[in-house]
Amino acid sequence: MQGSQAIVTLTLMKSFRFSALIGIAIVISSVLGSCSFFSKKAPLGVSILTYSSLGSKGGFLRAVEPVFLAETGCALKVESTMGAAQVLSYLEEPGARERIDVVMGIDELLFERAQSYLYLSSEVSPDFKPEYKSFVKARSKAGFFPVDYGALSFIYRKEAFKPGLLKLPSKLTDLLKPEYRKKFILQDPRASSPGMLFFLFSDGILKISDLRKQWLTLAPSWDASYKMFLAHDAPMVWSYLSSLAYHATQHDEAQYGYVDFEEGLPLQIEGMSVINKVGNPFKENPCIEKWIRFVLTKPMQAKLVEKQWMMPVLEGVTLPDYFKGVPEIKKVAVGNEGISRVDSLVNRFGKEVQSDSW
Amino acid sequence: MIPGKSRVPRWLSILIQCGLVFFIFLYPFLTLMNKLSSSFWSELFSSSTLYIVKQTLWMTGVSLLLVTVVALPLAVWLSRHRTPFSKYIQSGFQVMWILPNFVFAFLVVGVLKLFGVVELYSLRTVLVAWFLVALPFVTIGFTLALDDLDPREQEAMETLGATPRQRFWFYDFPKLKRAFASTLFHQLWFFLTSFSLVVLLGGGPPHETIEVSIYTSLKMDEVNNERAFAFVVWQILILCLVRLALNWNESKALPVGQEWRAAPSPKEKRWMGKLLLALLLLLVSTFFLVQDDGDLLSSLVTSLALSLLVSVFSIFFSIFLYRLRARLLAELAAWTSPLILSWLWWRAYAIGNFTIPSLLLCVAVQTVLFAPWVSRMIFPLLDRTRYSELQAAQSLGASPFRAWRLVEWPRLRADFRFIFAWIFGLSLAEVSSVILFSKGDFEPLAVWVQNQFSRYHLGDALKGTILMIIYSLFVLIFLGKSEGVKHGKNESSLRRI
Repeated sequence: MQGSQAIVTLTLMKSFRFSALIGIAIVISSVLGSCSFFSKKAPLGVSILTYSSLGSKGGFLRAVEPVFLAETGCALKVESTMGAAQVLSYLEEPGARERIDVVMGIDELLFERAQSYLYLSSEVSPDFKPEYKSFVKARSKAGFFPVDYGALSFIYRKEAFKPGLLKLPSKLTDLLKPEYRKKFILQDPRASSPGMLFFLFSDGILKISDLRKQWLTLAPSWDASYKMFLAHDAPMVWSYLSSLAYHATQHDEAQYGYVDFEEGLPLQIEGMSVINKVGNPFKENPCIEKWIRFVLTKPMQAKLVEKQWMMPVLEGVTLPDYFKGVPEIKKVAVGNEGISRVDSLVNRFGKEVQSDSW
Repeated sequence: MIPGKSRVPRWLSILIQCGLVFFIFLYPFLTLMNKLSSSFWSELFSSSTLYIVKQTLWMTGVSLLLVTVVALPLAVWLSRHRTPFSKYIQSGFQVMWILPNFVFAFLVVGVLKLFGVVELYSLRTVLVAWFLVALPFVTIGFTLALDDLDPREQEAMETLGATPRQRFWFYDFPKLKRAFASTLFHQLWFFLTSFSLVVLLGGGPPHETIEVSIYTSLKMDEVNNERAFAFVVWQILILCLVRLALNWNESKALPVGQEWRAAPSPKEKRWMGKLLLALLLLLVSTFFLVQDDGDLLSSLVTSLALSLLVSVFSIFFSIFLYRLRARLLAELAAWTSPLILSWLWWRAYAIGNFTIPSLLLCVAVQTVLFAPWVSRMIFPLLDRTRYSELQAAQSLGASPFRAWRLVEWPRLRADFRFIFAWIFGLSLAEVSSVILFSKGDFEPLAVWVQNQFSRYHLGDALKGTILMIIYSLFVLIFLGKSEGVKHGKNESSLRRI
């Protein structure tokens, strides 16, 4: 009896020890985990916050990292997030702002929202005058360094628009005609930047409640919508004009075209900005200026085109052959941009699409 | 380590549980609540919020009804006809579980196109997809419950002149109605938190569920915390009701005996077939990998390591919670949206003042998200630990671990293997939490595929997707079909899923 009691006691002790050990291990690992990953900035370098496709393996930043280090002696530290949308959440966190120097890949809308966290001055040395394209220069803002742009329109499959079949739309209101019902794919403006640009572009011309009956689907993201287009779900998709370059790599560019609206085409300009910290960040960390100069050189712009499938913001950049079919934008759509327009659109959007649904 | 009756002192158990509740739920939720403005209350009862709640309930109700109508007769047929064809159907069902949602969505659209459906993205498409994705789960749940019944009693009924239909309505159904309800409640939970299929197939608003509305509130530049939290409150309310109904239902469920079943025969193990299939899969994946410059391989290895860690940690975490007697805590993650929990963890632990390595966070968040399901399978197994035999083995000189390995492990092995394979497959196909937490320091296959799509490398993206499916299949082949599952010996653990 005493023996079995001893065994039970021993088992009790062992069980207790095991649970206690696990508990202690969890606490220690959490503490160690948090402590060891407190922000530590490299002595000479630049920390960049960007989104996944720019910062991941095979992306632009990973490709130019060694070149930048060799040319300037500055190391590149990249932290990437799911999409441009999560960048603002990052910037809201003081700890994140502390360890980041530059945010890259933000568009003008996001720049406007994030202004309170950004250094709103472009005071790089006086000799630094990038040769921006005219329409990029026209939209310049202090603190926003454009790095690439993309014009958006409907990319269409030519076989669906042969004579006798569908006619190409020439203005936005054409999209409401019965023949275009379920013939085009858009992106959800609440989840995708290209989708938001379409609805900003068409706001005031088309009613969302009318348009709702026409689109085949509002895809959650640009890539999901393009997959649907390639699967022949619809003959038109709202996309970047650089999609035509992708088709050139597949040697089927002759089968695809883009719609040139009378109203012009909206532009998405992506850029980079410096995080606002105590003092002048350009003086505190010279690598920041070196990085901005580095990206805004013609070879790096060419690299950006190759990796990101976006157009260069500088004049005279040599484009890869497969970009020859991507047209230069003829008319930029009158901007409906601005945070207040976006907020108003998002607020109205839910209500207008829900009307008459039940 | 012996996963058995908890001997942790009550005070310590409560202390650890409070710590876990704080770190897993309270702290992340408080970080969001901190940012809420007064417009939260108007969002909570706004017409557009109530519309989405109504739409979610309507969609889940219709889907549940549709799937029950088909799954019940199918399960009865599968349980009564042990033919090779019925076994193939069950195997096919398991394969459907491991398909990533976006692959499944495109398959559904492909099938609809074959039938000439023009409105490919609509509410009906979501209902079709939900039906197809739920059918395997509900059918297998029903089949396992039916398999639990004692055939001697069923035979006795038939000898006394009962038709198969009478047998079902007067014997099988009354005995199993709570087990059936349990399966349906679980399916309801899956519907209520369904995200990818709705967002891909619904055609956009207004066809969306609460989970999709949470996503759209969090996605664009300016996160709409008030709107997101209003939906979270509704979702928690509905999920709490579902879980309470589930627990009440299971507490009333009658245990069904399986002692009559014979042990599985070793002859039934078809190792040669499995080996050939595995070799074929390996050959295909090797073909893809040798064509690549190494990125695909490194992403694959990261994904496999991540899924392995998640599967192992999920099982250990559930055992740990069992020892703490933390049944409520084990269920807590199922009471809210997986999306919001991942998002809050990301905000609280990934990007804040202190940050935890992304890979560790990713493993932790998936472990917490899967804990309710793993616990529901593991807790009943551990409830039946044979303490007297364990003590006897220890009295005879075996160490606690050896005693547990000799006495308990043979009983648990098949179920643990099944749980491991199930979680491994789920984790491998999990995209949203992985993408959210990857900061570029690790790049699992899901993120790699996503990046290839955004860079127009569609061929590579397709290769990555195929690899994801191949490795999920691989694990399923070797571990998924445990003897317990095949012979309905999982007793209450699998009866309850």
